[in-house]
Amino acid sequence: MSEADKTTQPVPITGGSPTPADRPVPAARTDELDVRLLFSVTLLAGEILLSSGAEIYRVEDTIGRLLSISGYEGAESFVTPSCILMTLRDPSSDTLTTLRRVSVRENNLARVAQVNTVARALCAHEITIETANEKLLNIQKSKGYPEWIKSLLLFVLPLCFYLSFAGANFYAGLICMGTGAWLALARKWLLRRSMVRFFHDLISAAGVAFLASLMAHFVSVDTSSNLIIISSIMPLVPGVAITTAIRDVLHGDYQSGTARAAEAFIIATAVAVGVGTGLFLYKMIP
Amino acid sequence: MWQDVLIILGGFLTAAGAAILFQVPPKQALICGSIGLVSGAVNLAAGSADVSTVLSTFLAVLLVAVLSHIAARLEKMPVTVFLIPCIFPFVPGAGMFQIVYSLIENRPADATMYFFETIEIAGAIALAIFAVDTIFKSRVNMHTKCT
Repeated sequence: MSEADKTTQPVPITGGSPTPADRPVPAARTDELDVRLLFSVTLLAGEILLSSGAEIYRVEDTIGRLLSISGYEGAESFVTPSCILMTLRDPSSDTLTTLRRVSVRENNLARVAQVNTVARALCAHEITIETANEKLLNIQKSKGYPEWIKSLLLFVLPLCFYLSFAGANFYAGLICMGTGAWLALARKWLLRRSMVRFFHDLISAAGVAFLASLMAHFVSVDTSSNLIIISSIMPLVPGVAITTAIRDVLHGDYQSGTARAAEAFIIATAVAVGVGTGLFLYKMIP
Repeated sequence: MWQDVLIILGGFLTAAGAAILFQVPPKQALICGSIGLVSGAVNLAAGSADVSTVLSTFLAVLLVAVLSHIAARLEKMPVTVFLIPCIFPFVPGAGMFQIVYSLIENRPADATMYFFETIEIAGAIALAIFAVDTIFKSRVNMHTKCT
């Protein structure tokens, strides 16, 4: 074990321990570059990427590239879907190591793209670390599309999916709008209660199946209600988890690949159980 | 004829809708929609040519993945921005429904059949993404190296 490893600090950004006296410190490098700031900027970039649903290899790759700006000997990171562990070491100074738990996860592809742009610019020395820090903080604060657009989308997406499966049909379209309204309302209502994702999907899918069957019974549709239910549960299916799981596995991150495949499977199960519950409730009506 | 046009248009709407749901900026969402348009056309053609769902999904996702990679190069954005919304409409939601429906209707044999079909479709999507990613990956590394 080298000297640098022994002086590892648990909290690198705030803490500061004296450099070993027997080791000459090259002053030039620390003057050029604020390594601690670079380290915290890198951590911020990684955190935004991971919490926005980027693939693991992208997070690790970005961290590696940003840390390599420091010119230090070793820059390593270990990222799982829920935490970032990264370290920067060099014989000339203390080893910087940190761990960041990322618990909030949502799909925000705009943030992934923006962080990517900032990281590229920083790597190409087009912007300073301070500017990058500001930009990343702004990205973290940015809200993206307002909530009502998401609700509107959930309202119209069943209709769009029905269109792409079977073409136009007036009565089926009406029912799809009904189930879409349920999806939007259920999302709003369940988000306010901060429901677990599993039950969120289950309740949404159950309502969709029940409503679609019920409405199809009263409005005589010439196609079966099955296609309407399929169209309506499409916004709930685990599309992101599946795609990201595949790409993680491709890049050799089997750990997170299987974790996300499990996520996809559990979401699928929730939707399936929900549909089953809805259909069962409908059958209970005499 | 009209219905065919509407089905292809549906491909645009679903992909663009999914893109906005995942917070993709408006311009890129339109690109996603255009890719969805192409995939809708492929799906329709495969449907009328009597090809199995698994094969048509595979071919369509293959095309979608190639187009997503090209769009990512042109827009200088990560490929996920395009890939995730455009793959979204192919996720086997229909298979998931049919499994449950068969179970509720007390037809376990059908449920098993649909279960394997769903797994096959998911596998076809995975294989297509794998293939295209691998082709593009060998080229990317040379360009994006950061010194």
